[in-house]
Amino acid sequence: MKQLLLAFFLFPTLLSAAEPMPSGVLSGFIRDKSNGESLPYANIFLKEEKIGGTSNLQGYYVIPKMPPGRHTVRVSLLGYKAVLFTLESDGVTAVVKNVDLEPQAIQAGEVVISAEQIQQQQTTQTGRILMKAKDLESLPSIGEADVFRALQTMPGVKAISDISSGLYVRGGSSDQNLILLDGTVVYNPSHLFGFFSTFNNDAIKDAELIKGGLPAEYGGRLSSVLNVTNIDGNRNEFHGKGSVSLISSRLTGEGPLGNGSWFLSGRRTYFDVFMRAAGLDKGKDPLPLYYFYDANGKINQDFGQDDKVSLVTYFGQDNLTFNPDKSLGIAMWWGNQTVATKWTHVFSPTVFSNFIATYSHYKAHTEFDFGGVKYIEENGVTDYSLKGDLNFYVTNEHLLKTGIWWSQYNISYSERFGGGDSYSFLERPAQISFYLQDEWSPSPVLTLNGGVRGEYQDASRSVRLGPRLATRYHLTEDISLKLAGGVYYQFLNSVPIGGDNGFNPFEVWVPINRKMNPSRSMDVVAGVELQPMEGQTLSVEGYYKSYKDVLYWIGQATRTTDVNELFYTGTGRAFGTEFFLQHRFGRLTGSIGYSLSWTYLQFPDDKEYMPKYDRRHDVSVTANYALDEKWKFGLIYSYATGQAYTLGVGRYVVRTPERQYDVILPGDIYNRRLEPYYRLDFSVTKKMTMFGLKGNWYVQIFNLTSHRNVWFKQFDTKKNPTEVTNVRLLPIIPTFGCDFEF
Amino acid sequence: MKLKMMYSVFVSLLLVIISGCSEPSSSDDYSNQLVLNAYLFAGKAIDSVYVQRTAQIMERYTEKAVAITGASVRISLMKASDPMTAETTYVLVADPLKQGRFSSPAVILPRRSYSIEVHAGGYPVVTGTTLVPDTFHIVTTLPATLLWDVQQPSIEVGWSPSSGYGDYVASITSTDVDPPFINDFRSKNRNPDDPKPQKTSFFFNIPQRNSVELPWLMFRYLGRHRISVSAVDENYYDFLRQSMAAEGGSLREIRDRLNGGIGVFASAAVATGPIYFSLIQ
Repeated sequence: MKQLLLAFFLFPTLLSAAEPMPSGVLSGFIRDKSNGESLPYANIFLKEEKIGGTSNLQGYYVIPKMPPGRHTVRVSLLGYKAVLFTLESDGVTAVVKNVDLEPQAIQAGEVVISAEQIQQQQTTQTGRILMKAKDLESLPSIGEADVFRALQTMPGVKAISDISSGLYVRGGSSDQNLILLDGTVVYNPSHLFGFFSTFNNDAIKDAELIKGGLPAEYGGRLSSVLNVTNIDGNRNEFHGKGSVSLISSRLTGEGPLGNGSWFLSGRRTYFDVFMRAAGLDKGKDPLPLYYFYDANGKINQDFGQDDKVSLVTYFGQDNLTFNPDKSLGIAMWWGNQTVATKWTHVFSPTVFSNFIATYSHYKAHTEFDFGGVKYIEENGVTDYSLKGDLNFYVTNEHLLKTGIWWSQYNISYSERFGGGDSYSFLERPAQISFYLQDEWSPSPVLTLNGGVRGEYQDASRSVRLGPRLATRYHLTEDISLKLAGGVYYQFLNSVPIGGDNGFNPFEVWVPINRKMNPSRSMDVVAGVELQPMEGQTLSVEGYYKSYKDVLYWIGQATRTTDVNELFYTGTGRAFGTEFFLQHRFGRLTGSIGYSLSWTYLQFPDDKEYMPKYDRRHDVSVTANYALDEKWKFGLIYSYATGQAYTLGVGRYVVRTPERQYDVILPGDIYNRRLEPYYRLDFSVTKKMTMFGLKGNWYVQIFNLTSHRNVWFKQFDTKKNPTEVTNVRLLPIIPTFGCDFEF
Repeated sequence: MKLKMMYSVFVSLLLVIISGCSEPSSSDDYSNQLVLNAYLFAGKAIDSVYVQRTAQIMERYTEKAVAITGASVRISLMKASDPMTAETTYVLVADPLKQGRFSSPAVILPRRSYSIEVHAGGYPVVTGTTLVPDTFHIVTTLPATLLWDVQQPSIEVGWSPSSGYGDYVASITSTDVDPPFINDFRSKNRNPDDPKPQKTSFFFNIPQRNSVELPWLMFRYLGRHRISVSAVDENYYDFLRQSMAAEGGSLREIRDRLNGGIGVFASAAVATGPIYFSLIQ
């Protein structure tokens, strides 16, 4: 392994040495003029030659070969004023040109999107959703703008319930998503028993979700990748913003530091403060005290044009205490800590690299004190990772990417009740993966992205190779066709301790062992993307996905520490179609998403069935209307086929020598549907100045019609005959608050 | 071109929505299944075999309605040298006073294998086997009287090991005729109309050990109690942990070790001892 790592780190030096003399290469960083933030996904276009490129996540762009002559270069990004400049190239000398783009308020009719701009925004990537923090702010929510909640309104992304921020992407379960925060894997990213995600919107620059056809640079999960990028911090001046709502307060500061920037953002809920002040935690029917807090921070420093170093951290924790009397005490806490340091180095204008060392730790602790007898359960995962990624801009037609990712995990679980027996395990698997991919544009209308990812996990001694391929063909300037597919493997799976109702913040991650194969999925995605009108994008995608060796938690108390005995191993398939129409300009913006999908799973000795998160129809409409400069209205409407559930068909008595109790006899698994789900959320925002600070007042109404959707069916055998009741989800919940800037 | 494409997209949309409207019909075929609850205890006669059926979910459940009285139940002692061959077969007799219960005066031998065969009209034949754990006895109970407060939350019970399986379960049963319920003294919030719990409570999952600390929580009543520690076979252990997880309406399929029906055929060796429980006010 050491030799492999050494070879990898020497590789870019060799590339730099081996590459021919730069042939008129144009490169640089693209930043936001107002705050110095790097701008990913910006387009760079040489007008005369009709060649171009896109800035990467660090805002770095490269046009590898400019022919000799005078060139008009256009740099553009939605939401920013395009920059036009000319430059002279001798076809040999490398030109470094950093570009600052000025933000532009988008009003109806002001923005003309040129064909070249549209064309350059398009990648071979299928199933890609990019959300900016500002997009999230404008959507109605319960107090907190939340990236997971916003993603749940997208076609192909489903939620299991109103109280769960878990993502179920194209037939995949919630543990099949690779969730990255600035390159660090985050495990169980939820607050308030899954109600909110751990991501503070004030700290987020953007979030990119890839639902299928994953490129070779990502691996380790079967279904999707969510890439959340934090802001860098304002490089020009100190700037702050905050928010106060019924649920929480947030505060963010950012500013220049040396030759770079910093930011620090934190938030805390205060249910506990209100309840303690009202005395609700004491008396005859006391209530539990609960709060969560989290903080994000980042420091960036530039060491010249070619070296940038950043240190980024996140920590957050949920706390719950409940002490109704001396014979019962409950204490629970859970949370994440991540630290990552990244070195971005430009070996040469055409060889760009990122090296990241990350630490990610999740721990949950549950303690019940029954008058001196304690039940304690602890669950943790620690992930130490080293990653290196190289982008080699070989020619204008080829972008070669390669990378290596090594992870060492410490995964533990323990439970103990009084002086009885304890159950625990500690697993320490290591995993290494390597990828190579080439984005090739043989003609201006055709782009191919092919690659392969190799993965090895030591606990199972599994070596797997996953090929990936994506292609895009521009039928016309406005219409393009996409086709992608790949093979993916997963070596870590989570056990949903809390059952299947989406109320499980304490998912226990377990690695596969030598008796198991890594779970595998293969997908094929085909789509068409077009611009029906100015400012609109319509995409239609169909997908088919097959699963092998997927795991299903047996769901029974156990004494085994063999991971393979915790799960059934099965197969599955998922297929469907998604339509997504987005309108991004004018007073009225929004989207309409519809997905029609099927998901099937099958485990030994059982019939094929549709899991709980299978939905036939799923419709989401989001709309934002800017009445004028001050008033904005937001709306989300969601409709979905009811969730699958298992009907209890019979009952019987289990009789032991000591006691007897009733047990429900389940029918075929998940073969019934709850009633259809629908919900309407609404928000009003008014821009105003408070105490000399710019800001907004807002009112948000969750579930405006107060239609309480069914969460699950409950079978009560204490009643005779058995009583079947609908356990319902949340009614209307209005919240209000304000945010401000300074 | 663009119009044609848009037209194609919307026609496709219409077609796929229509295709999604044809949901496969679901079936919840219910048929009565035979439920066997059969336990053998080392050194004791066979008196804990119950043959019943399942009830449909919306059916009013009564012991009488679900009892299968006409069943034929046979338990065979298997040869020590050949556990696949029966040495002796006992035909169990239906209890005229408790429908669905079957018994035999035959005494169960420890460390021997037994098999069961249940024939009932209209049901598949149910079969199962069990290996009976060895007898053992309780050695220590400390303290002999538990005066509960937070500083003294449990008692320690030790026993001589039972050869064979190493899994134990423990229970505490109030032995007084009409004992006072401890929550009547402890809890200010208790509604006196709420039903009181069963006299027996249960402590589960004591594998591979010869002692256990039983928490005060296991005592639900004041006064005299009996502690029972059972060495259990694999059938017993697995069935208990699965069925307890499904108790009270949680939908979970219980995988048992019976052929042809649901339930359990298991065995145990039981050791008992006295304990007294009191509250410090």
